[in-house]
Amino acid sequence: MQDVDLTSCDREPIHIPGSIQAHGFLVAVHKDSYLIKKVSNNISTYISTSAAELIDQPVQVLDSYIASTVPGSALEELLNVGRRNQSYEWLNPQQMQVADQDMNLIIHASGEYVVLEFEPRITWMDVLDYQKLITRSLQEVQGAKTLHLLLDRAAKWVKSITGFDRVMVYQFMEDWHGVVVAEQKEPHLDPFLGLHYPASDIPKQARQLYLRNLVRLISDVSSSSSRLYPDEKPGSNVLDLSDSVLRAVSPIHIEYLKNMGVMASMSISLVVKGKLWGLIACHHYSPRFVDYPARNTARFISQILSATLEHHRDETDSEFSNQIYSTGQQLLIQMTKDWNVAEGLVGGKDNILQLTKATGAALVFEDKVHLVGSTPAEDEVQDIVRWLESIKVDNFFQTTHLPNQFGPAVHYKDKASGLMAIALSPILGEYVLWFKPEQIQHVTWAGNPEKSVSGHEEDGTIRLSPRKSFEKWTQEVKNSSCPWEDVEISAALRLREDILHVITQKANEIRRLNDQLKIAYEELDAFSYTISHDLRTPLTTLKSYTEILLEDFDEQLDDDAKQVIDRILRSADRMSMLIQNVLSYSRLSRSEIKKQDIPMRTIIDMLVEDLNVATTSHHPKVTVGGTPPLYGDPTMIGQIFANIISNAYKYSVSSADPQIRIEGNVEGNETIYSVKDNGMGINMTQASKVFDLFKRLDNTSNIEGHGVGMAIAKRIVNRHGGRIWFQSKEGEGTTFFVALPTRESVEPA
Amino acid sequence: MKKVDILYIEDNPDDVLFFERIVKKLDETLTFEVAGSGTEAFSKLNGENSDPIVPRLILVDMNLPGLSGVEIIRSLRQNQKTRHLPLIIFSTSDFPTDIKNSYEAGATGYLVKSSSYKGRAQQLDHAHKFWIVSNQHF
Repeated sequence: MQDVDLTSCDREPIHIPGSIQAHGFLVAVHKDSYLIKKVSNNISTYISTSAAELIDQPVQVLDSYIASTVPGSALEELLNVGRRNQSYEWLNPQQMQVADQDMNLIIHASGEYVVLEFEPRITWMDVLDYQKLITRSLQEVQGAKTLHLLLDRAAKWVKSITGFDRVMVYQFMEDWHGVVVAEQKEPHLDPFLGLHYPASDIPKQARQLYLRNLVRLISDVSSSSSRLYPDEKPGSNVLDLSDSVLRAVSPIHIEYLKNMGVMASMSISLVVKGKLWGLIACHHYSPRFVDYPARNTARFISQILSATLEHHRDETDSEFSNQIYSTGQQLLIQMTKDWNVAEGLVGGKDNILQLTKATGAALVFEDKVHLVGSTPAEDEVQDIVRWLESIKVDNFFQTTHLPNQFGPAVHYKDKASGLMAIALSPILGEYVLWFKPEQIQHVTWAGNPEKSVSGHEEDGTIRLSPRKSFEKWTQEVKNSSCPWEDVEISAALRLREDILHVITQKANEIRRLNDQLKIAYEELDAFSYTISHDLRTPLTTLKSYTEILLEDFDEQLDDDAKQVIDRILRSADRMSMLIQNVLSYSRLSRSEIKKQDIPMRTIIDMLVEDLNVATTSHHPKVTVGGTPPLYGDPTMIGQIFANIISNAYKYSVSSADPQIRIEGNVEGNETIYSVKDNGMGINMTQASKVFDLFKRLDNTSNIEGHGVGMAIAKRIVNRHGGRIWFQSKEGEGTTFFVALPTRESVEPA
Repeated sequence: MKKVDILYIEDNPDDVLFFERIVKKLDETLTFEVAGSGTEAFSKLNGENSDPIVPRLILVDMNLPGLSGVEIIRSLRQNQKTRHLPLIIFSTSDFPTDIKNSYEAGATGYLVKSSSYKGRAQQLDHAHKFWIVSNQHF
């Protein structure tokens, strides 16, 4: 069995079929001698002679059968006129009387031949009507504001001129598959609008012919073609029928049309910027012949349409680039505002998705994945990023068939068959990604591929089934997306520049803020100094004078006066303590931390000893458990424990048997100390206030304190990267915990 | 030449008043001179308007009009007449940088003015007992 596939279509020499459609006849004469060299066999059905008899006869012999409607236009004279002008085009068509039939003669040169083609003339409209029609269609088509309306009107006019059942505007996509973008049809027909056709439906050499021969009519797919006489043999002077109006149709194409139930078809090329943009495709469900003037009118409309498309296409292109440009600008504004790059790219009015025609986008930035639109899941996006890193993507990457390059992507090809990526920082794995879905899923196919007509073998030869091409196309588009257009790519690259620029600016901004902060800190230092000196000095003076009053004028004061003076003194003392505390708290944030292993037992023993001396009201029993070293600044850590342990002393004043338990343990990466008392406890509703500056809990008014100690403790612990917390029950006691990272966890060996 | 026990460089009249009261109580016989600024102090030491004074101990406040306490100490250490004297900063500031700068400039000691009158009396009592009573000089 012979192996035939659709690529046969691409190889079929359709421009030299050696036969013509039977609705007309063909005579080819030598360009110089005017001797008849080739004749279509069906000539005998028009005139009473045969092809064989005419061969090598001068063209004049035809004059006895054929008469021009214009007197004096014998064939020889016409050929001479054409030869002198080096073109036959302007002669076409010549109205002829062939036997009893009105026919049009269409002449063109092909190689060493001049080809005379006779086809029927149907006078259902005269020249003036055509001119009116053209004028009106011109106005309508060019007045169309939108592309959709433009195509629709062109289809409408072509339909009214040619009378076909269905007129479609068929647009070629980048991969040459086609889409019906406009349609005018008889009401009873099913619409084809929006249908997609595989590229192989109109093979490459057919597309080339469409570029050359703008109008192509197949008047009856059921009539058999007529062969040229003598038989065309490969290698001999074969007649090139590229420009022929009667050229026979490829059997593959005939079958294709038959499969669709189409009996007659006409196509008019739409050529934009030298490229085949699409076709106006006309279908008729019974044989239909459209004569030369009507075809020419349709061609004229299509040329107007082409010219308009050229202009229009530019507009839609620039509209899209304008939109992309303004989106890009907006993103830049959003990123610059607050210097939040991620928020600017995905959280604002515009986002990265609008920069392209992608259906999903992802930003992988600062260890976060932000998804917009239809995308793979977050972990899948991270997989893609790792893959991009592994293939060492340099700034930019794009593919239209990700699953073929990165296997796991097959699981989310419906979202990401197409991938475009820009690298912000490949080292940190920071990217912007755009996704396009697998193309196949949103394409409505012409015909059901499951019901495709497969090769019949009635006559022992394999007949091609054009619908089989669907499978091939399916294979081609599987795992692949629509292409990334140039505007999308340049928009992505520009965005990359913008983002990197903003990141640099942001770094500069941070540096500037840092400098400002440094200045502010220095000012704060100066301010602290002013407080310590300028505020404390008059306070000291006030206090000293009061002391002098008490000391030197003792005998002159009564007890009431002395008590008042005493209160002045206490207030002054309190104020100077407050100033002192504010200063030490504010200095904490700036002073350098000098970490070392702190021998906790020594520090605890010292503190307890001091507190035992200072505390006269009661004597808590202090027990100390394990004391693993804490890794931190000895002065600061000493301050924390001084605060916590002295609190334990203070707040256990009312206990019958005050006890304090201090111990430390290493748990994982932390060394945790606890200080437990059985004092008055803390009401947990006030728990959040414990570490606030100047906050004192409401049952502590009779206990000395300023509300600074625990705030300082918390600040120190925070600066050490540790934690501080407590557990308490009112009336039963409080346990404070301090956890600092162990040396090993901070400085790995 | 006028010998005094203490030269006190201080611009705050209150501090001067406290100083005078405390000193009188410590020792009726103790002699002192007060200068309101570094310039005035040098003028007195050099005897520009009167007999030059010769102190046994100089107390210097930190914040002064004109030269700061640290600058005064630095000059006194370079001056032939005063470079061997005990020079003590007597200031409210307990800023570590102030303390460090003072010693680097050549201070003998650094006393942070007590915020209470009693405390200050105690400080001056200590200083008096050590530098004037116990300490030997030439």
